[in-house]
Parts: sequence; structure tokens; C-alpha cells
Amino acid sequence: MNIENNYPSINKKINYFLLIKKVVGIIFIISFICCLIVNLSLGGSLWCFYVLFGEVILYFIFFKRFLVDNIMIYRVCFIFLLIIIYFYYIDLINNTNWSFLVNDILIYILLLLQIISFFINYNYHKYMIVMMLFSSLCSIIIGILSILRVLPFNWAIIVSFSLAIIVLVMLFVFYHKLTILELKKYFSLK
Amino acid sequence: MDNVSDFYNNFNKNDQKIIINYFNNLKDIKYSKKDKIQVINDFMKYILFCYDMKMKVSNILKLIPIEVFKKDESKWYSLDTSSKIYPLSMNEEWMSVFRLSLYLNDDINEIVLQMALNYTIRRFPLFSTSIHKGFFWNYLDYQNIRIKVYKEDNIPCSRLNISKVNKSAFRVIYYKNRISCEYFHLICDAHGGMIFLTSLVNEYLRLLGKKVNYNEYAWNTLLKSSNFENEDAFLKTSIDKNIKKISLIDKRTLQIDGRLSSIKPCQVIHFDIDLDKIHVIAHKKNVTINQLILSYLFMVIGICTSKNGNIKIQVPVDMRKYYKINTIRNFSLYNTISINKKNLNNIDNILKEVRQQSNEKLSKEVMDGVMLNAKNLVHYLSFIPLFIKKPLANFIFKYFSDKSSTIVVSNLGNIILPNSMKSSVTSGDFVLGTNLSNRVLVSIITINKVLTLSISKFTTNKSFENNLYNLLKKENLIINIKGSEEYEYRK
Repeated sequence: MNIENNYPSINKKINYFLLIKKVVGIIFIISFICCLIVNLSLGGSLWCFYVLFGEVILYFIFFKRFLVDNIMIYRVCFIFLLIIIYFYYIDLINNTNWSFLVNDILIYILLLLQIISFFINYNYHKYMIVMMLFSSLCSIIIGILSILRVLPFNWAIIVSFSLAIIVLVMLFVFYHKLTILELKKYFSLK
Repeated sequence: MDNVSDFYNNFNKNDQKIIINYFNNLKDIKYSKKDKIQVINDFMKYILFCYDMKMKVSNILKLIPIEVFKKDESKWYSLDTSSKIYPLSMNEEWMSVFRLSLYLNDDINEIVLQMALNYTIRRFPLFSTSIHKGFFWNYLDYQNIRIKVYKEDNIPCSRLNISKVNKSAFRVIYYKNRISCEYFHLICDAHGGMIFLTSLVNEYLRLLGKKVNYNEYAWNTLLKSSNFENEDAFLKTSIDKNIKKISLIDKRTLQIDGRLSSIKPCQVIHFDIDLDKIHVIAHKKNVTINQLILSYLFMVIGICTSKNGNIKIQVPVDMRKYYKINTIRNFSLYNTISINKKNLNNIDNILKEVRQQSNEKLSKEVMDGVMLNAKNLVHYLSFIPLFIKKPLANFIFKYFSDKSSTIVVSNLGNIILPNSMKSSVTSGDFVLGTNLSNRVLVSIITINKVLTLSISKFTTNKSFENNLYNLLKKENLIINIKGSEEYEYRK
């Protein structure tokens, strides 16, 4: 059977990114298993999960690409969220109380980054609206819980709470049409 | 165009005035700043190309009206019922892509093709969208972007990068005399994709200065799009809820022998078949052309499979033949035709079985059952957040999806081109490019009395195409065989 070749010849490229990603993934798994064995044999607090969380954060910083909506600020938010959980976990294991302040500072930095990004990437700013709403609501809930003395109260909470109110006012007063449209798209059941 | 004054220096003073006036109007077109510069550049290149072909400036400008670029379609689309699975099941290495191509008499000119795409995309706003995450489902959002045409330099149906906000879910590529569109299945099915491609090629011919006319496959790109063509056809159909539901997931079935290749597809082969000859054979045997080809394929698979059991061919069904809905979005479903390997020894028995099962399983009543099941599934899944659905769907798709069929055979049917295109377009092909477990995918398209049967291979084992070739040669059906090189070699 003679096949007339009517396609261009292809330079086969090796996808080094996927290759390195797989190798690093394997190294991470092995290192976690080693830490887990040492941790269980020595006893004490479960510090091996510090390693796991650290690896997960590194993996998301360098290797995780979102298949849809791979926007820098989305990735930053996701990594911030992971770091917040990480700090909370360390605090919980060591029975200390510093993560509330640090996490509140991280939340208001995150809100600030989102606002800056909203105005810098004006062409794509509509895709940040829902994310900003979520972060603001989160800050407001933490603020209310602090006022009710459920969570410890600190200066970072006041800053992030105020910033969240500014974001909500900005979105619902100056960008209300766009905000409602974006919410409709985001929560569409169709 | 690097230097605007260089561009104007090509024309005499009178023509310069006309062109400056034209470009002043062009400043209002709705694009982002970066894309606007590129689109204006496209216009300049096109005008120069036509001017070099000794066309008058006034005649050139008549071919490229500005009005279509001034409308802004700020729309968004929820995914249709059958396309909701595609973004859920894709991963970093795999996504469902198919490809449609048309072959012209002459080599393709990139400048004209880019202009044709700039016009065509305005007529089909659905194709100028990017995909985004919602809380329950993904959705498509309109982007006023310039989509670039590329010279073909990659494996057919390779993955599309849709991760960025300004990336569309299809690509237009050209190679020698061929124009191809590769679509992520999410935006359209092959019928919708063919309408887009035919309209694009028709527009290309119009911009080359040829007289064109339009029909159901080649739409006038200077007109506005209408809502009906972008609607979710599944929502427009009402089905009797008491109808028998047909399961969407089937048991695992036999696969053709051969190890799966790491490069997918590892080769594409097109068999050009004489339509009149195959029609005569089908008529003699009292079956349709599709049933005849399915029977041949059952026979070939029987030879290429060493294990015993049921062989199943998955057949996508265009639901437009049962419902008069002219959407360009997905409106196709599938069913399977199954024959046990031990019954594949006689072509007449196979033909009888295929005819009987086709008439039963691909009937409107049965397909309505499949549709009802798909609609119900989507309805129940609607209330589950996307971050839960995505890993679940990915798992189900990976372990169950195409393992329930031996091959897929998709027949797009006879594409009727407008008379003006018939002399310029010689043939076409249709390639199903992606799959997880099947060793072969088969797709069929008929253009200008040439039936092109395309095989996308996912194994380096050559028994399938060799046996099919022998069978078609015995019936004296083959006009010629084209295809790609083998992208993966294994002894």
C-alpha cells in the first residue's frame, strides 16, 4: 500500500515540562514517604505533614497549570489559600496562636493584590470580580467572628475588613451591571 | 506592515486619498489595542496583495467592507448538554479535538486566508469565545480577538491551548492547497465545524475576487449571526419522559490488537473512494453506504482482533436529521452496533446484522432515549459544584469512556458545496484525533463525489489499514491513498 504523504514532516518535540513535572512529583512522593516513616518511628508531633504541605505549595507554584482560566492572579490566590491552610496547620500541631495574625495579614495583602490586578489588567478585569467578592466576603465573615469574640481580634482584621467593604462598595456601586452579569455566569445552572 | 508611510507610497495620490479615508473609518473597529494593530496590518497586507494582482483600489475596498467589524457581540454561552463533559474530561495531555479540511486547486495564500478568517469569525461569534470556570459548569465568553492562521507544523488534532483568556477553542491551519480547522469538541460538532470551514473557504474565494454564492453549508459572512444558530438544541427538544432510557455507559469490549502509541494519533491515512462505485455496491446489497462501510469495518476488525467476544462500533448520530434545528453547536449523540466475533465470517450475515441493528438502534425513538438520559444526567449533576464534578468525571471518562467500544465510525455525510465552490474545491477530509483506548478511529466525509474514509491510528500495528486496503482494493473502490508519515515507529 503506497501512501502519498500530504502532511508536513514534524519535528518531534519532547515536552520537558511534563517530564520534569513527573520526575519532581515522584521525588516529592518518595521524600514524603521517607519523612512519614522517620516521623512515625521517632514519634512526637506529625511534622512530616509540614513537608507534604510544603511540597504541595512548591508543586502548585512551579508545576500546576490551570487548564482553564490560567490567570496569574488566580494562581497567586490559590497559593495564598494553600499557605494560609499550611500556617494554620503548623499552629494547630504546635499548639500556638500566631497564625491568626499572619493569615489576616495575608488575606488583606491578597485583597490588595486583587484590587491592583483589577485595574492593571483592565481587559480581563471582569474575570476577577467573582474572586474579589469571595475574598471580601471571607474577610467580612472573619471580621464579624472577631467582633463576636469567636476569633482573636487584631489590627490586620480591621484592615482587611475595611478593605473588603471598599471592594464591595466599588463592585456594587461603580461596576454593578458587570458584577451582576459575572455572578449570573458564575452561578449558572444551565 | 512595519512602516505605514511605506505602505501609502505604493499608491498614486488619488488612491492614497481613498485608502487614507478607508483607514480612518477602520480606526473604530472593536478590538483590543494590540489586536487592532494586527487587524489593520492584515488589511494593509491584503490591499497590497490585491494591488500587486493589478486590481483597482476601489474594487479592492469593495471586497472588504468595514461595517461587520464595528458591531460588538458581548455575549456568553452556557455549554450545551453534550459538550459539558469535554472540559471535565480533558487533562494536560488529552482533549477531544477533531479536524476538518478542504483541498483547493491552488496553494493557499496566508494573507488572504487571515483576512477571510477575520471576516468569518465576525459571522460566527460562538467561535470567538474562550472557556471559563463557573461554580457549577464551565461557560463560554465572547472575546473580541483576532485569531491567527498558522502554517501546519504539528501533528493533526494536537492539543489546543485554551487556558488563557484570549485563546479560542479552535485553530485554522493551512498546508499547500489545504485549509484545515481543528476544533475542541466543546464549541461545535462536525456539522457545525463544517459550516464554519465551508464559510471560511467561501470567504477566502470571495476575497480572491471570485464570484461566490451561498447555501446551507456556506453562509454569507457579511450578514449578522442569528440566535437560533447558537442555541442549545437539546433544550429545544421535548421528549416523552416515558420513553425507554438508553444507558450512556456500556461494558468493556474487545480492542484491536496492538500496543497503544505514545504519540496520538501516530498516523493519519485517507482512502479516497469513488462514490458512484460504492453506491452501486450498496444498492446491490440493499443497504446504505454507511451500513456497507460499517460491515466492511466489522470484517476488518474481526481479522485484526485475536481475542473472542463482542466487537462494538460506536456510531455518532446527527440529531438534526430527526429535529429540524439548524444549530452549529453540538447536537449529536451516539449509539453502538455490536456483533460477536464468531459471527464475522460471512459478509452477507454481517450486512444483515448491521442493517437490522442500524435501523433499530439509530432510530429516532432509541436516540430520543439516549438524549433523555443525557439530559437527565446533566440535570442531576447541575447542582454539584464543578470542583467535585471535575475529578469524578475525569476518573469515569478515563476508565469507562471509549473502552466500551472497539472503534468509532463517524460519517459526516455528503457535503453539498455551493456551485461557485465546486470548481475550486477538489475534496475534503475529516479526522477524529483523540482517544484513550481505541486503536483506530474512522471518519467519513463525501465532497464532490469523492468519499474520503480517514483512519486515525493509535497503534503502530499496521494490520487494520492493510486489511481494509485489501478489502477495498478487491472491490475496486480506491481512487488514491493519502496520509501522514508515521509519527511513532516501533518494530
